[in-house]
Amino acid sequence: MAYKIALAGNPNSGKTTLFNVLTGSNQFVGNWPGVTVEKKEGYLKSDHEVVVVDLPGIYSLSPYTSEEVVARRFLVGEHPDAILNIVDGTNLERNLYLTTQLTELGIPVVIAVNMMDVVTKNGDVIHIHRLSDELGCEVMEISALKGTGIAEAARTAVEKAKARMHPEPKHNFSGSVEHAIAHIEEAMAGRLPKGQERWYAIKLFERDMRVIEELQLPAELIAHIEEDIRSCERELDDDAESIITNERYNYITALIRECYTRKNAPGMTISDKIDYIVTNRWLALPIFAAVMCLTYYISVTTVGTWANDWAANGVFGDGWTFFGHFVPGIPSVVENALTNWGCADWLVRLVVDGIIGGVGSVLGFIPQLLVLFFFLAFLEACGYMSRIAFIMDRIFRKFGLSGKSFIPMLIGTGCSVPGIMASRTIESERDRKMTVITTSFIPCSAKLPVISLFGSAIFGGAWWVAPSAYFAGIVAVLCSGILLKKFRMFRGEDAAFVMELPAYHWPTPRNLLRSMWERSWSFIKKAGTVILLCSMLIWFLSNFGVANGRFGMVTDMGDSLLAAFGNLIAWIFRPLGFDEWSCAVATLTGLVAKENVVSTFGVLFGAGELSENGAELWQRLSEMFTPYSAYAFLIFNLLCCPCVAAVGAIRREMHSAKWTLFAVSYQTGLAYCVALTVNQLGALFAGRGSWLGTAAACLVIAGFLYLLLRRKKPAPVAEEKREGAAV
Amino acid sequence: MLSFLMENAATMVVAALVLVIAAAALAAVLRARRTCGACAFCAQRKHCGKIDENCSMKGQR
Repeated sequence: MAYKIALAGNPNSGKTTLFNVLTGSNQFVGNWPGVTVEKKEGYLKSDHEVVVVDLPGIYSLSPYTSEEVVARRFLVGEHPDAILNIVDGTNLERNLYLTTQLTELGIPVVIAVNMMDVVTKNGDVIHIHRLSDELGCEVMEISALKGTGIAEAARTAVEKAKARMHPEPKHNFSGSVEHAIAHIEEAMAGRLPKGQERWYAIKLFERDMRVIEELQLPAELIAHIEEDIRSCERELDDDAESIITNERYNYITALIRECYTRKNAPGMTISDKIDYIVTNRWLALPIFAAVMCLTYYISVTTVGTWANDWAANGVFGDGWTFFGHFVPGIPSVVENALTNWGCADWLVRLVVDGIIGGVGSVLGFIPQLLVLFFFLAFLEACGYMSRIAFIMDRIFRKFGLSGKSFIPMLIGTGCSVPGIMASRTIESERDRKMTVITTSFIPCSAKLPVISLFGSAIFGGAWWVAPSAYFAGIVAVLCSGILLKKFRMFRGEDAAFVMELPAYHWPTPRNLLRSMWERSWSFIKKAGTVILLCSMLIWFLSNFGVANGRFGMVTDMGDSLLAAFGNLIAWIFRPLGFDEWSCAVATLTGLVAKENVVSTFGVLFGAGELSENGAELWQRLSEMFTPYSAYAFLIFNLLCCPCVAAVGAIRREMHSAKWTLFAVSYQTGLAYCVALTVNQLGALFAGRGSWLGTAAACLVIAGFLYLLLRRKKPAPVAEEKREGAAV
Repeated sequence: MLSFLMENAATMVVAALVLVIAAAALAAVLRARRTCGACAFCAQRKHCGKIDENCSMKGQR
């Protein structure tokens, strides 16, 4: 029989790190609160009879946010055999609030005080045995990051789970509260699950609506309970919920006095000193801009370019020199081998141009992505990303979004799918929908090859191309915040954003490398599956067609099926400056996976036969694009409808085909308008503008300014209340 | 109609190999699409195992 152990604790207390160690999984770990939004299960490595459940981080069992609902539903509804409560030792007082609630659930609780290495380093002492006696449950010291004490904590939790004992909480409220709770328990006799009577009684005392709805109590019983609550409220001159909260904190304060010895009076820690600068009112934004510019500059322009040249032009190109020895590139090796074996020419072209050209053009960007992923992993793990959310909150608030919306966007820099799903942490339904719609504006890793290709081919490797794409995404998010809030369906007050800033710490090299590798491996897997299939399809469609009234292989790509299809839709993109059928097709294949934009060009322009330095592909691109039409192409592909996987995630999060259609239409419409403006104004400044194009661009700008500056109508009060209740 | 595949033995072998690779890639794409929603949260990472009843990857840790 399987035993279930739940990992519960405050956000960013180290639950997922512990989960990974206990189960051998590789769940995403970040140094900011709200990384986990769904519960996850895995088998304990040392005992396959035990299932470990990683719950989202919560501050209490009051279901204010969707994560708290997920965690509470599991703990109360599914009743695990034991709870391993992860407590951040550096923030003991705040973390113990949840502990006091967990001990009331009638489930054995083992407390693992995490980050003990930091507590010890600070010179502080937690009197574990005294804490254990006071709370009435086992308390263990651990460091999830360093891996100390974990096995003991897991073993203790398994023992408790197997013993199946119903513990009694040691904490008692003051006389009149206990009196009311006892009355409620008595009135509810036989109606509550065994072992959970006290937890339910406390929740009824707090008038928890979800519990009242769940129990479906008769009106007279509710009235009877209400009398007890009112009498207590009169006596203590406060509302029931506040009474319970105050009493819990009084109890925790007494506990801390008994069990925690601080070496020094609380002063400025190193984290505080760093935050004094990086979250400074005036310096925060320039520092953030500099950090992101540097990240993209190093990833794409310096180290990235060197590595990319080797991969794209050496490994997937003509070859490279290794300690004076020439190593031929994969395309030439394969081409020579296939030709020597006597393979048919069409098959050689399919393998070299179609498969290696398409997949290789994407894989060539792996070195750049490795560097980018390394920097992003570092920023995430050290704690700076949560500061960015804090900094962005101030700006986002002015644009109708909360800083909480920035967390999904941070996650979205890797892949939009988890980014879109991370929007679940947002309580307000309107803000959540807006975040889902705008998250994919931030360039994900799949868009980086597109940025890099155009940066090199058209802009001569200019340093500003990659950061400008990133900041264009942020600007699109901010402007969408203003625009969408002007519409009735998104109107309303901004959601409050409370976020704890975790202490900075040096990430372990293992975690950095693991994060970097896992993201890159996913990219490689995608290249070997979706991109490979699309490349073969593109090759087939671009080499077969109807010529001289007969279907077969064509010598001129202009006669191919792909060209015929591309020409059908190419006119749509004429105002954006790229009306070649190959660009239209590349944009369309990008909807399957954004890397396909690059692989399509790779297949169509025969990347397998590239000359040195990828000059052939670059040459063909620079012939097709002007700098402004190239930037318009880039912007359109960055902002338009994301890949099918991300659209699927939007559909799941929106729970509505109508909303999904709205999101995709809005994204594509915005991308089209922005790209049109970029191209037409660019052409105008270059002296090649047309009056029609300029008029269209001016119309777009005027419409945008009107929507931007139009006064916001106040939200109807009734609607606000309904929304609030639904959350 | 498929005579171009039969040009010679080397063509047949390599064409068959390409088809096998394409079929494997297609199978991987289709299998990935059957995973449950929660898994997409870690789409770029190793599958965590059992997430919900509808997940085709359930239990494959």
